[in-house]
Amino acid sequence: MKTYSGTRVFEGYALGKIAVYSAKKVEKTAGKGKEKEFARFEKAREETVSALEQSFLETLAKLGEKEAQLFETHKLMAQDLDFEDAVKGELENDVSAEYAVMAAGDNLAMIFAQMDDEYMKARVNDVKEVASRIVSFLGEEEGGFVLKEPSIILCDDLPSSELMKLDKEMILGIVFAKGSPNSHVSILTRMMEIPSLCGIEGLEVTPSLQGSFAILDASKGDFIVSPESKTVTAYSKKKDEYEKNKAKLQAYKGKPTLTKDGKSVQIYNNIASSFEVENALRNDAEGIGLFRSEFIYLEAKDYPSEEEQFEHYKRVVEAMGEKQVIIRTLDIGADKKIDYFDLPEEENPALGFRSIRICKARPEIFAAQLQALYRASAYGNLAVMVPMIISESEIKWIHEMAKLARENLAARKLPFNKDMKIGIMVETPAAAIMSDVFAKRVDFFSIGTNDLSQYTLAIDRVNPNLASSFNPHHRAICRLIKLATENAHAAGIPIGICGELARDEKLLPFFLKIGVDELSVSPAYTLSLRAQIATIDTKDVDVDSFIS
Amino acid sequence: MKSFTYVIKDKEGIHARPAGIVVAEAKKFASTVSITNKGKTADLKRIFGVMGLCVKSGEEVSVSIEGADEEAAATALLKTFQENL
Repeated sequence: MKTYSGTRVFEGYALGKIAVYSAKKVEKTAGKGKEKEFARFEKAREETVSALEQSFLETLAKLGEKEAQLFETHKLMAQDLDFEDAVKGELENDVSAEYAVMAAGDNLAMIFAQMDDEYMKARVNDVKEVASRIVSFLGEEEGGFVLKEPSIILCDDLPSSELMKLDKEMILGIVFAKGSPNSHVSILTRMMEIPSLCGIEGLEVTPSLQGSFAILDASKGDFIVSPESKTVTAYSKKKDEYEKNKAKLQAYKGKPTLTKDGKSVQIYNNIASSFEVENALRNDAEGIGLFRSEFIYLEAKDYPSEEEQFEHYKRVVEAMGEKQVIIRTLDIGADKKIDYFDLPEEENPALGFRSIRICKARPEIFAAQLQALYRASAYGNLAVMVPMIISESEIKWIHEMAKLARENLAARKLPFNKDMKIGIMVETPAAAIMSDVFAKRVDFFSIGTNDLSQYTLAIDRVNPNLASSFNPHHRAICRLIKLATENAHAAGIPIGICGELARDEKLLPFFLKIGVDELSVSPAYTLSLRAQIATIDTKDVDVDSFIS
Repeated sequence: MKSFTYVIKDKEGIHARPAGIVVAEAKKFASTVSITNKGKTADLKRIFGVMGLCVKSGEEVSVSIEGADEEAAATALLKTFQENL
């Protein structure tokens, strides 16, 4: 039994045999003369074009015109004269058609990779996919990747045309060992609601895994190869419950979130990338309570520009329409490291140089982010929250920086919402204890329960030796949450909870009773939380039992 | 020669899908069709050329058509831009 973990593409469970998909490897080999090789290329291209026409029709039937159009675009790429010229150029070196096609595809992909536009960068995959599709038709053997029985597909990456060719009934789940949640195939996977993960650390896709039994827990992010029988039994039960529950929960879509006694609360979602916003919308989130902006920094090779950040923020804000989107400013350091930040090694990183502290030391990073956020604020209902606050002077500094950002944009004649809400995270005991003072200076609070718990209890939450002592239900934590909530409301500002604890079954009645305004959870938990809240009568909740 | 200018309204700019649609439309005609944006010109029948311009929302493109069927091509292409971008 071996467990791997990865990034969620679409939640859900799958248990079954692995079907390995591997793309053909192309070596640099000599061809049989450029005329002959070009003729082979032409024939393979023709076959590719007609296969893409089939994929277009299949996708049109399954998912509609918008998704199908991409295959039409792929077809035009295959037929493109620049592409053909590039293949001809490669063939001048007497290589095989296979190699010429891959090299031509790689060269064109480079052009996209160098563009200063996130969307265009992602198109590298389209170009490469078209090239490998042509190569697959250059081969001797016929047929291709088919599933003979319901399987979990394991691949480095899967061309979307291959995915659309497969019988959906046969796909239990997909594991993209490499891949990104942002690729075209990932988007299709979500549309088709197939449980899947991508970017699996340490997993090598080898033919030897073919037929091995595996468990995919795409809700948590685990992929378990050759599990023990008791694990299989446990997961089989989990999967059944999940599916039964999922069907039942559909009834809560489009409904407001109310307790049994009619108290209203908002359910927001935590998302880690702009591409996860589709999940939030599908699960009927009432807003985004935590958008982790770090992902933009983690995916980049150098500090992301204002423009690049603006595009990500705008995409989420626009997609959510009138619903609120709370974006958290840069929160790195501690366990999240980025090479180009060149942060010093620390003895005690959780208590060290992180988030707002880095921003204060390097204000140009924070300035670029604030400008990007203000620009995106013109396109919807955007609010910004700053993590790791401990003092009033930090809040004062944030407001000064916000003023500078507004002045910068006004001078550049760019639109922005000058009243964009700025809030802080309450995730240090200092912030909770000082919340009466802070509440008068900011527009909202959001409690980060993971850090608040670890700092209050002085227990490293990732230390396995302390896992049993780490009690997030500790009364000290509940007292701090209650204190912050009362102080927020006294100052007339809303308060939300965006940590893991927001959907904690035991604490949920307490949160509702003290009047937390918003609970922010992963998209997959939205409807189940709404269902659970509907069963709670706050009149029956005894607050004292949680704090004394 | 016929030509027209058009301001891109699609919020993603000329991205893969609409690029495919306009290129497919241009290819239906015998005339040569070119598209210019920010001083760079590309053949509107070549998708890599068109996407390579990296045209963003709010930017203006000019399209020129030259050939026997330029009249019909100009009408059809303008309509395609209006409907898809």
